[in-house]
Amino acid sequence: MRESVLHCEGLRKRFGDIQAVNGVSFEIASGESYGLLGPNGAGKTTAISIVAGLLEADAGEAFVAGERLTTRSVAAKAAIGFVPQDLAIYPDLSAHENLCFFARLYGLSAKQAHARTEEVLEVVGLSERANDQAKTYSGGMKRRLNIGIGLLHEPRLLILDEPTVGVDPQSRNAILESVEQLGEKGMAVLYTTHYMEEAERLCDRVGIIDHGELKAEGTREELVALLGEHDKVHLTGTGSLEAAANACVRIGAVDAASTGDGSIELLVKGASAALPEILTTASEAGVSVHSVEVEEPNLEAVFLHLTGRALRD
Amino acid sequence: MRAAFLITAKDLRQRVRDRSAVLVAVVAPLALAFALGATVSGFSAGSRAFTIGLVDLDHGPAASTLQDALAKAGSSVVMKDVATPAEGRRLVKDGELDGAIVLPQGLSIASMGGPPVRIDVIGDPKNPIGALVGRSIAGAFATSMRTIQIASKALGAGPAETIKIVGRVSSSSPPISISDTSTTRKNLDPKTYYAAAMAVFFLFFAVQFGISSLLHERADGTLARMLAAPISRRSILAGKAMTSLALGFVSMTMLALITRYALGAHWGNPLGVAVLIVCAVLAATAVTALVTTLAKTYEQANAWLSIVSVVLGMLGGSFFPVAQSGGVLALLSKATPHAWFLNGLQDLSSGGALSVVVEPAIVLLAITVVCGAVALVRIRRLIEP
Repeated sequence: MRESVLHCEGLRKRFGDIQAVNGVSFEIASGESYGLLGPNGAGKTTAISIVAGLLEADAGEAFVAGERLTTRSVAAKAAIGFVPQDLAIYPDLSAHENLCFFARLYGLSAKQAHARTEEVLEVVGLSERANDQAKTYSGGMKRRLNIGIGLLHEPRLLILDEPTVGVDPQSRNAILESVEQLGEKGMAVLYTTHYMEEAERLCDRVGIIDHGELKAEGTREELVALLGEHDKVHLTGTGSLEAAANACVRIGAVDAASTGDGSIELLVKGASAALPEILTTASEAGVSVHSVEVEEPNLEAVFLHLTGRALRD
Repeated sequence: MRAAFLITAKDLRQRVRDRSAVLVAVVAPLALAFALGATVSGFSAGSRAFTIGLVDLDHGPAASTLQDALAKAGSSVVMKDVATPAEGRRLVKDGELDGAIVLPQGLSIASMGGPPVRIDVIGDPKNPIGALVGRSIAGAFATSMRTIQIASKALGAGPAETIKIVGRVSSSSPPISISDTSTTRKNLDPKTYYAAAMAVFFLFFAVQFGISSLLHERADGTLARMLAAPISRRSILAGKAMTSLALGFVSMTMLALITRYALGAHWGNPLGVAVLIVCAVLAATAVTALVTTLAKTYEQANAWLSIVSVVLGMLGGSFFPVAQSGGVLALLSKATPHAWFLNGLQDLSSGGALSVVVEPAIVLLAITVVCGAVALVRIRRLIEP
């Protein structure tokens, strides 16, 4: 059995009237990648800020590598590598200087910091530009440096908060490959994203979070199994999509519906049998349907099933 | 403390790299100290000679009395003989003379009881100080002529006797001399005054790079990264405070040394100056920290700190000695670190013992304690992601 690196129990955090995190509990073992999947504003960043020791929880507790985690716990923080969502680098320092500074802050000696900096520069592919000021880097290079800082002290738990937001496809792929390799090296990874594909590709287990609550967690297969016989039906068309979605959700076989950019997503039990009624309802609601696609359920369909809305909402 | 030193070293590296600190802490105060010192020195009678033309249409003993008197005035006024009033006007207009005095025909006779005459002073509106000097000389001369006239009448002296009296007056030493003792002992010379005034004025800008950068780092996300590291929040705060202190000490020390050796400023006893610098830097850092804690964003903090720095600088006498105007301004001036620093330096520079810095040092430390304590209570909210 793999050792538990992060254990959270009943985490709660309120900002004024907003309950940002409401009783979130989960556990990550060494070498495991755990994804927190949810739309913007679901409570992912707040949850991750508590787990990174940046915010004090109102209730609940978290342990990292057996150490109780608070904003003041030095031992627990030493086991964590944190990669924030926004770029957190010094643009007027070089990659080498950025890495060395944070390495020293994590307690490495000058010699160790220098050696680890060289290794990390190699890992994130910035060796050739190591001495250039970070402000001269492309967006992707800055993202890689941002991630590299989190790897410096070889943490037991790496927390990545939406590291691919605003990144070009090539850099995004490079980042995802790097994260995959980290899990293989035995590092526990906590990864937040609102991209279903990233969660499916990277994470051994996924927690679905919405309105501050962990709705479900498990492997992809376990989560998809929650849907039972449901299929995902994707309609594209023009007209009153919102009205059509509302009408469709009243059909007995339709479990949930949401609208997107010129499309309607439906979670349907027994799609082949229900499809004629769905198309008739959509047409009566004033939608001219251009295409229909029945897809195998994925995490997005699970999210739709659990929350009644799409990940992108 | 290790983490605090790392943060300070990183901050200083950034500040040196973007040259902002060098500009604000050394270049700008030095340039302004030099410019203001030179300008004010230029107006000082002791350091600039005024050339006044003398048009003698009288050709009597009165003109020679004036020339003798001016010769005794030292190097501040140089007299130059001019043939006619028209030439005097031309030379003043061309800037070759600061002013000209026209002694009219019959002046000597007038001083012996003859009909009254008028002394004209030629000046250029573009050179008001030169005209003022000319008027002052002519006024003083008219007064002395009036005195001689009264004495002659009192003695019942005739013209020949009066000429003898004039001769005796011009060759004798004045019975009363005036020495502005308090001014020469208490006031700093312009070079030193503006070197110190600009140093303490820009000190308030230099120390901003430390404490207020907490807000900058919070906006940039690097503060969150530091907070996630296994270091205490106190060490982050200490690192930022040490950046402010280091920039302040380096700025003040460099300005004192450069103005001492390059501009000839006289700062006084080095130990006393060091005490005043340490106390001023502490006070500036505390005031800056307090203002920073009142702001929500880095931009807001910068704007407020600039306003506070300028207002304190003006009230404290960084540009002109506001305290000398008396009243409320003098009272407000006493609430600024600038005024106490400059007062301490004035006492020290005028030959005072080391003990003269005790009072300003205590006041500066009191400002540090009061502002620092309030800032410490409020600063907790800045050290959050």
